Amino acid sequence: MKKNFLYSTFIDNDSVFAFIKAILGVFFAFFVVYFILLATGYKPLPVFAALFKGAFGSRRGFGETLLSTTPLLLGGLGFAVAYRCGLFNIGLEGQITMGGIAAAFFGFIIPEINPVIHVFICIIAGIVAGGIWGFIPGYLKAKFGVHEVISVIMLNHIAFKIAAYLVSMQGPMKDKLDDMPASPFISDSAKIIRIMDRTRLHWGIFLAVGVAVLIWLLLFRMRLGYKIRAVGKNPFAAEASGISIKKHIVLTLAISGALGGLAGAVEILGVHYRLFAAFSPGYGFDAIAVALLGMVNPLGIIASAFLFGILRSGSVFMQAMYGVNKDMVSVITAIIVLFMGMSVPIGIMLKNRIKRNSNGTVD
Amino acid sequence: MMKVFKTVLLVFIVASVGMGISGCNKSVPEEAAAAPAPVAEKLVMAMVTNQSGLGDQSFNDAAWEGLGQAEIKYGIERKVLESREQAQYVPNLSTLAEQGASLVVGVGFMIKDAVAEAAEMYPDTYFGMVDGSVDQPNVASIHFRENEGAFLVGAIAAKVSKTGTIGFVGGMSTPVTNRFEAGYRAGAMTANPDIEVLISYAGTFADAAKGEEMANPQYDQGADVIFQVAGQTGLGVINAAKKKGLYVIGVDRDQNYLAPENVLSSMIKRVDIAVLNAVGMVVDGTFKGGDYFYGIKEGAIDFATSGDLIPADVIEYANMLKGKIVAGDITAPATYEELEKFSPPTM
Repeated sequence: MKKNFLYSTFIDNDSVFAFIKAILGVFFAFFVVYFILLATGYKPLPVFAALFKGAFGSRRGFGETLLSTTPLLLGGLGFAVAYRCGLFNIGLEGQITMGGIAAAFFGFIIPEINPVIHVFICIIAGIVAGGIWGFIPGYLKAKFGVHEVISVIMLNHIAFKIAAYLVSMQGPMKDKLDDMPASPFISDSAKIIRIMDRTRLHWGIFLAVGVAVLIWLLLFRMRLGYKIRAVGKNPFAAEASGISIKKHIVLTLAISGALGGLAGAVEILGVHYRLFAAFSPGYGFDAIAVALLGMVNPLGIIASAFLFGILRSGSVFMQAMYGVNKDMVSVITAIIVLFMGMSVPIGIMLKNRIKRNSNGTVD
Repeated sequence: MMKVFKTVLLVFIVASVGMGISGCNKSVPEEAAAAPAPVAEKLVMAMVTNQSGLGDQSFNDAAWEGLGQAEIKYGIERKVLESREQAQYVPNLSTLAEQGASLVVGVGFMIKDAVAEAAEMYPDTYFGMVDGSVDQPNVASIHFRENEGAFLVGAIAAKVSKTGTIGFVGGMSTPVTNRFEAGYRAGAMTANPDIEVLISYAGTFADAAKGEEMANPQYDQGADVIFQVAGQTGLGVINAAKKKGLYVIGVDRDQNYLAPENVLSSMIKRVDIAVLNAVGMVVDGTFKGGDYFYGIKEGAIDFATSGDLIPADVIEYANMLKGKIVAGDITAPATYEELEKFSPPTM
């Protein structure tokens, strides 16, 4: 098969091709949504325009975009670390919830102290809580061979119920002076400072990008990351060369959970300032799509988390401008997520197609 | 064959893409033509629903109706944003404020924090808060004396009951549902001092199956009327009543149409009246922040009689109680503490 210049630049080069696949996935998604909108009586192009206008059109909108990018990025990184080790951590939502609970607890139980110390304590608490919630399924898998998908789904439910119980009417973390089923507000010193006037954007976004770089270094430049990836690629080969599978499964899931916990802590400390039951609107589940679309590469995940952030903040505006029904908005975003996930098969199709064509013409 | 199929598909795609584009192009000149005309711009009044959204047959719909009435009465334009999750409240409220809505109404007590935050961010926009209190100069907090209405349906239930046992199914145990419960029990006690009231809370407002699960044991224990204060969960209670052929009392709006033979009455909460009043204050320029209370006296709390299931003498009795509440002779308890101190008035 003859390979010309274009082929070798765009198709053979793995990272460029992965990028093309992702873009194609997004393109197909908008293509399908276009027809759905048309069929349901909306004018598709203005609705799409509203999506982007909502995400970028105002200072507040842009702030909201970056605001939802933050937990999506951290969650996506959490998923990516586990995925690189051959583990499917669908439990990030539960780990986010546990992280949020811990951060909120140390946020309001400690009175005003030095803000740097206070935020640090709360974030560490969130990381530890999320880490424990990741350690448990890791331990169960390593010790008893319990499949991690099953145990983390169960742990998700447990985490949701714990959060709901803590802030219920008789719950121990409920704010007694308030009707709301929520914890007391955290002390001012525990709040992550906001960085843009008249928006809710806080410096957690920089933290998240920094963590992305750290995770990239961990995975691709450090011995531990190499071992994690080795276990993910071929556990038997890894074990034969002296890498303990069990140890790395436990460690990886703990790191993955810790990243989820960090996402939860940042949400509580930067956005909500108090704990309520469903404070994470499914960031942990979206994180899976974020990670996959980002090619499970921390740097790619920065981009895909941003894209998901656009969807989240833009969809509100879309609804406000064109009265698009809230379920319709869910359908649209779900289809986009679906097609983003399909970028891998799309890529394979594309490659086969090109191969077939070039075989036919050249030989 | 494949080629024909592909061609047809292509034509179809091109045609519909063209439609989409031309559809959007057409609207541009219209807007452009409308813009320079010095037409007095309509005030936009908006609302943000809780997760139940429009179509909940309850207070989201009622608030939306209130804005609908305001469209006719004041010539405003109404807008709504439905929330899919609690974390979306703040973005929804701020989006509407940013788009220049003069009044943004938040519905449901869970949205309270979000209204407080948005009201601080947009001090020039007026906000309404249904079922919660936000202490800010640009927020009108709307409260309902549900205990008064619950008192009436409690009395009706006790009078209609043949077994001497009635029930109450709440969604989550919150101060608002507890207020219903306190009023209901006091009303029942007033109508029949020996009445037994069974109480259960489902723990959710969004699970109809759970509602049925809560209602059945109460019916089995002899309750022949149940008052449901449980949102979507309550629809399950109504279902249970239908299956057992017993009575149920609806909440927030007249729910008789859901089961004409079984919904004895409904405690009506006229959120629309409160919303219409809030719009009126904005239009007149008399908007003042603070707490607004709506009860029987304001015509915002009542019981429904559709279906003709309540005997005439019971209606008469309930109306008599209503008069006494308006006159201040009876104070329906709103909390458990007040209920404990409550003694049925002698008549």
